[in-house]
Amino acid sequence: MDPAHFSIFRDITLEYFAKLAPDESPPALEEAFIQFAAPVLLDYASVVGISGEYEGCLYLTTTRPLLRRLLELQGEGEISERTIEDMCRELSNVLSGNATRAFGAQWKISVPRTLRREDFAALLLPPSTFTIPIRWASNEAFLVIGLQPAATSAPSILE
Amino acid sequence: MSPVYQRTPRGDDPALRLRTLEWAVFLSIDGVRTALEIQRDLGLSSRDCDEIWPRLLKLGVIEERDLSLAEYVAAAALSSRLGTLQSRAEFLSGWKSGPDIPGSAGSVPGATEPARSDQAPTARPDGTVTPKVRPAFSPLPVPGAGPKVARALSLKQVMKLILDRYPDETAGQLAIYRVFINVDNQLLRKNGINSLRFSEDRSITDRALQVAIQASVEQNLGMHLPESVWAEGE
Repeated sequence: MDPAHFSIFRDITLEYFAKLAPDESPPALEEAFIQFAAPVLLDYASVVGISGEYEGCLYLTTTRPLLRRLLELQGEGEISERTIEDMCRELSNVLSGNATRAFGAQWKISVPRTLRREDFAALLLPPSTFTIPIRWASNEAFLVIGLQPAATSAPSILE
Repeated sequence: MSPVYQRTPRGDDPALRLRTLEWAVFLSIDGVRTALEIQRDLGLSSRDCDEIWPRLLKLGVIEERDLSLAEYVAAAALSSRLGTLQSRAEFLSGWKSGPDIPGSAGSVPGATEPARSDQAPTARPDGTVTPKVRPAFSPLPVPGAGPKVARALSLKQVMKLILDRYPDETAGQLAIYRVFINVDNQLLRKNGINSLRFSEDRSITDRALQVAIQASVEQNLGMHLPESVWAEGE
């Protein structure tokens, strides 16, 4: 994965939050880490599959309070399970668009998926993930890359 | 040197039938440890393995693995150390069961040890002195074998080396991630590494994990690990 492309992807993803709330502090990145045990997953995940030299996914996992805050910022009058999931789907589309913009030339990008906590068990993620904690509006989220060598991949999450 | 084997796709055949010890050996093959190390880890005798390895090879469920230079050097060092320990154990075993030849221990130049209190000479009434206990045999050191001190691989030093090589932090961190994508996740977790921050240190003493990390750094980044990443350990 080209580091410059990854930086673009990370930055434009953070910009999404910053633009929604120009009056709030911009999202802060905390120290990244590699996770070898169960990948970090919060209440929801917006997932995009990628394949190329390696195969795996990019995902943004968020809490319900963060999605609620995004809905409030968008002026949504109804805060319910339905609108929260709609918000998560919108994040999935943003993530997919950003991934295509940053990696589209070298990587195949899948249709985005939106998952709730109860769906995570069915998610086949690579065993080692590169995880970036994000803190924004008193909430946390994680931007995660999970890749594995294509030849040894488990069934792809792209399908 | 003891060979390094890897499993073949034929080993995934659900119809595969092996004897108990053969399964134990087969499932221990990780493409990193030498045959001798697996034998030692499972506590098997050479006699057991004389039958197991040829049978697994004949069944086509394992094959000898091609090694990079770094992997060969690491595996050769391990085989040499294990071989030395084994030979020494066999030698001492033979000595213990061999004939009791008074004074023979002192016949090896430079092999004498200072007498312990329970080995102190006993004075007879006539003034002659008889050794109470024969001094323990101590073979000459084998050149290069050295004391049994395992070296520890410092992950902080490895990561620093990689980070220093890249123009920015993100590029360095992704390079480190690339290294660890290609290291057996279960081996990492077996060593208690469930997550890793780029600034933290872990001392790796597991030889299999050391070899896997060393090989991945070499294969994926084309870097050789210098002496500075190693520290003497227990």
